[in-house]
Amino acid sequence: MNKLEKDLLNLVQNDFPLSVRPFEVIGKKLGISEDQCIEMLKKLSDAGILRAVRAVINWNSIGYSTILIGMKVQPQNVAEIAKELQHIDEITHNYSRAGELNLWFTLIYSSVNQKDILIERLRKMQGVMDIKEFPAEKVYKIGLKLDV
Amino acid sequence: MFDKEKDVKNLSVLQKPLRFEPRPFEQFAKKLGIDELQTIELIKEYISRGVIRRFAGIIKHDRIGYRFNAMVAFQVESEKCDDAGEVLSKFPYITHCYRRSSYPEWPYNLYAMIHARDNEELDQRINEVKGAISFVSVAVLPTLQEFKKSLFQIPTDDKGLIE
Repeated sequence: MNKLEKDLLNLVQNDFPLSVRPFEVIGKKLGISEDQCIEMLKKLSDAGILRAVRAVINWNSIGYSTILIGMKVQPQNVAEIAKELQHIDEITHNYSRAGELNLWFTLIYSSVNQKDILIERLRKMQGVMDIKEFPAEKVYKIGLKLDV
Repeated sequence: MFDKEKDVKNLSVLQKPLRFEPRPFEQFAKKLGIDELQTIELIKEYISRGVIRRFAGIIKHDRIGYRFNAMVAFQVESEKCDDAGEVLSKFPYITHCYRRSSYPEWPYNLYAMIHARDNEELDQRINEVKGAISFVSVAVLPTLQEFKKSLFQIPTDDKGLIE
């Protein structure tokens, strides 16, 4: 990535202009045209660097709940269980980690029942030894931003 | 009070990625049946209400070099947790920080996601963070493999809101 692309990404993630022609505004700040700005963003998006420009929604504010769940899974079953979790839209993040609880995921749900059904299903899967729920009691930071 | 059903309907439109075209808010405006300026005002209203956290570009961390991550879980005395959370939140390389429920056999109540560009930097940052707060015990849980990272979308199939 060149300097201009880095500057563009930092602008887009830190200070996206909410105006009718946002790419013109960004272009002006960087000394490039609106078209050039759009082309660069398309390129960064095609390259998989820029995931999207979009609204990041606070799901809790419209009635959804979010929870972190940690599982203790037999090492030989991790990949298989992760594959199963892959297909569930409400599961947004899924990582294997070193440690006692070795498979972690975040879940967005609209009813406790929905969450409990999923957890019961997971408990029955081969290799699952423990499942612990870690609801957030307080949010100190949701940044999602790292300097490019 | 706010009309939640209307909010969900609006957000199911506004959650879509912005298209890279000269007037990108037009796509939302058409679906919402308002004009672009009203659309932008609506987004700003949701931001001020905290319903939309931000409207911005989302970058794949690993594609800009942050391939080494760890979730660090601290056991912090309950009354010190807020102070510690505030301290951790100030580190630019910590993207998420929460207080979470704990268990007798898993006593950690303060969680932070730490990002770095190599293992050495990750270790150094973990140590820096450990030195910044007082805690009883800590579990460092490095990310081994990312299986899934996706953006949740309000399901629109059952409400006739499909584009």
